[in-house]
Parts: sequence; C-alpha cells; structure tokens
Amino acid sequence: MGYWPSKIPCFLNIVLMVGYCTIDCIIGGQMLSAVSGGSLSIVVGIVVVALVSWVVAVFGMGLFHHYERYFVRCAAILAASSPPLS
Amino acid sequence: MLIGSAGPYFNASLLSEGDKPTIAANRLSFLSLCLYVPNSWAAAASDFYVYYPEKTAKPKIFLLTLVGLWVSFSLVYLLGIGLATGIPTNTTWSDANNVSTGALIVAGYDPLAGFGRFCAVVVALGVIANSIPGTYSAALGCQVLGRYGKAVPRWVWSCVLIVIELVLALAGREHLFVIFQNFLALMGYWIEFMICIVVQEHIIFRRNKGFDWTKWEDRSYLPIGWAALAAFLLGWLGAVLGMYQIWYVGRLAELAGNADVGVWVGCGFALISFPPLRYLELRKIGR
Repeated sequence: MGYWPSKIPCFLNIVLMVGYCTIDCIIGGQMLSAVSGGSLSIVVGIVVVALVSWVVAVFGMGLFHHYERYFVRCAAILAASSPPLS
Repeated sequence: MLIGSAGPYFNASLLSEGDKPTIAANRLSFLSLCLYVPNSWAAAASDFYVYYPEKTAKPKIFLLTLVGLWVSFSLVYLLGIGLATGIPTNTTWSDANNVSTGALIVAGYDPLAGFGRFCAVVVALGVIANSIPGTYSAALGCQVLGRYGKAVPRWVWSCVLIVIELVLALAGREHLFVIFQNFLALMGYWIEFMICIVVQEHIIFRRNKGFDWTKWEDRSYLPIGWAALAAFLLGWLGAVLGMYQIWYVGRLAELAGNADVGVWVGCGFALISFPPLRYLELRKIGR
C-alpha cells in the first residue's frame, strides 16, 4: 500500500490487537473469578491474566511456543480422561 | 468437554424472534461477523508466517490457514450459540450470565463438578494463549510504524501494551458486550478493504514482477500509495453508507432492512476503484 498509507493499517492493527487482548483479559478474569466462586474478584483475575501474558510476551516466541505446546498437551490429557458422554 | 457437559441444556428448537426481514437482516449481519472476525487476524498473520521456511509450498500454507480458522472458529461459535440458547430455559445459566460472560462458560462445566472447574481454568489459560500473539503482533506493529518506533526495543513495547490492555480491561470489565459491539464492528471493516487491495496488487499488478522483500522499507522503491489510499478511503465511504451500528445507521443499511452491509459495500467500492487507480499511478508515477 505504499510507505505512508501502510502506516494506517499498521496503526489500526495495533489498535485491533490491543482491543482483542483487552477482551481476552476481561473474559479470562471473569472466568477465573467465577471458578473461584467469587472469592477472587474479577479485577484480580484480570491482573493475573495480564501478568501471565506479560511474562510470555516479553520473554519471547520460544517461551510462547512452549506454552502453546504444554497447553495443547494439557487439553489433550483432559479430553482423554473425560467421563463417557451420556 | 463443554459439549458433553453443557450439550444436554442446549435448546436447538429455539426459534428466531422478529419478522422475516428482521431475521434475514440479522442473519446477514452475523454472516459478516463470521467473515471479519477470523479475517481480522490477516494483518497480524505475517508476523507469524515469517517463521515458516521461505520455500514452504503456497497450497500448504493456504490449507493450514483455512483449516485452522474453520475448525477453531466454527466449533467455538457453535458452543457460544449453544450456551446462549440455554439461557432462557436454564435458570442457573441465566443467573451466571447476569454475573458475567465468563461465569456462563464456567456454569456450562457445572455438571462435571471439581473437574469442570479445572477445565474452566484450562479455558482461561487458552484465553491467555490468545492474548499473547496479539500483544506480540501489536508490539511488532509499533516497531514497524516508523524509525522512532524501531528505536525502542520490542520488549519495552510489549510492557507498554500490556499495561494499556490491563488498564482498558479494568476500566471496561463491566461493559464487555458494549466493547464487543462497538469495537469489533469498526475494526472488522478496514481489514477487508486492506485484504481487497493487497490481493489485487498481488494478483493483478505483481503477478510476474513479485516483491523485492529486502527493500521493504525503502521509500524510493515502494509505491507512494495514492491508489491504495484512495481505494481504502472509498472502502470506508462504502462502509459508512452500509453500516448498521449502535451509533450510526447508513442509508444503504436502512434500505437493506437494517442489515449490516457495510463490509460488502465497502469491499465492492475498494475492489472496483483500486485497479484503475493503481493503473493510473503506475502510468504517471511508475512505481
């Protein structure tokens, strides 16, 4: 799109990504709060989500890949150990 | 897991509300939503595809992307719709939904008791997995924005962005749905115009010429971008005419029975205007 005009999509992409992450933070925070039965407030949940994201985002793609790998493994074990559906 | 535990409470026989044109308009709006939410990652995709080997086959990348998007989005959409259909009949869910959307997801796992809560934590971890690439991509975007942005190391940008996200999330934690409605729609528009322009440039004007990637920030090599800018703005004009949002309803949206047709009209404008404008730019300016 050319040198200068392409700065517009670039900037909009930053806004978009930050927006998505904000939504992620809120939903993650809400879920952590709900899991704890309300003893953990949504605010604390959001801070926890943001902190974990911060650690991985700052310490790089390598750690990010590790995180994704273990996340998938964890999810796979969960799926395998699920009780049969009625 | 969620299908198994929450599936029995899904209400598949729930009927759509409203008269026929309204239902049709709402369905079209939802179709647009399904189009532009996955597509909104298009601008960020390049940040991650550079990690593929340069010789990776094009069909392979295409299939990987398409299957990945289809599987992840359709499954989650269906689950979300299922949970939503259960709210009117299931009081536990409607109570949970009144607390928060996150609580509704946790309530879906309720039949599994303690194990269900564990699953909910895993989903919360998955949400974090979703926010990390976003932050990474945004930090990279800050650097690409210009030479001042590049002077700042990427990890500093990541820190700054996380703080911004944290503050926004804390400020907007009670208004999740409003943020979704206002923000996603607006963001959904521009990405489609950008895709239209990039694809046309790729297929029509650089079919044989290709790109010289080493000159990605060489101002004398890159086009000035008048054609792209004009097509982009025209796309926005179409979006404004066709948008059906809380704060503004365009003329064309009114004609379409209050459907959100902004994406389609805007894409049409961008698709039609870019080739002749780009041709002119190539003729007059030569790059």
